Amino acid sequence: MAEEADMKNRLKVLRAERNWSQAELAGRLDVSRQAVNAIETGKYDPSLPLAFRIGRLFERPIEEIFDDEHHD
Amino acid sequence: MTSIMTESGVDAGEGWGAARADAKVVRSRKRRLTLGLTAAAVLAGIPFIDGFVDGFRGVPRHPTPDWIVDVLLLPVLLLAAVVSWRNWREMDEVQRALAVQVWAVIGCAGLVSSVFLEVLGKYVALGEVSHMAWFLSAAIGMVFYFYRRVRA
Repeated sequence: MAEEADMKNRLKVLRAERNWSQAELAGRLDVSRQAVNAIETGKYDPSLPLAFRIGRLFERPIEEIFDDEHHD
Repeated sequence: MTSIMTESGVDAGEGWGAARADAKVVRSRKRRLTLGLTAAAVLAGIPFIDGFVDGFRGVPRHPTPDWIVDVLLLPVLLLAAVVSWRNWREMDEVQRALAVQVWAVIGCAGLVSSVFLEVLGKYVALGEVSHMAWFLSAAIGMVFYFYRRVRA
């Protein structure tokens, strides 16, 4: 788990908009609830395949969900 | 209640994800229980088999030769390998990352503690240094694992 993750994400907001629990989102993404929590709290940056799955689930491009703080 | 279809054509209405996650947890618990019982049966069965051979031959119980004990450990190692492989397949990427980190911590702890305990053993009576280093590194790995799990 990348503790020094500089990536911010809107996963919690998007999940709340749909009134989903972490377990609900975890089930839809086929990951553990701990994984959802780790991504939401910025303790872990998801792999590209998982980021694409998240993007497809919320029907948004990846860059709308994940924001790299260090980009120019 | 809205009905949402997934890419695979499954009805993904409200609560579908949570039900899927719950089912996964139940399956995982059942599998762990089965493997735990099997592991206990194998470990408990080894001494039984050991005594059974002597009883079958009608000779008094005698210490088992080392090579037989070593061969009897094969099912234990095989079981450990199967459990590890199945767990790895079940894990998602966050759990796999944690598992790799735990193995790395155990490896580093073993590397350092074996040298440290060997030097310390020259001055202090420590007994079997290699066993102590093994248990110490495993314990450090477990502490690291539970610390990360609690924080998550």
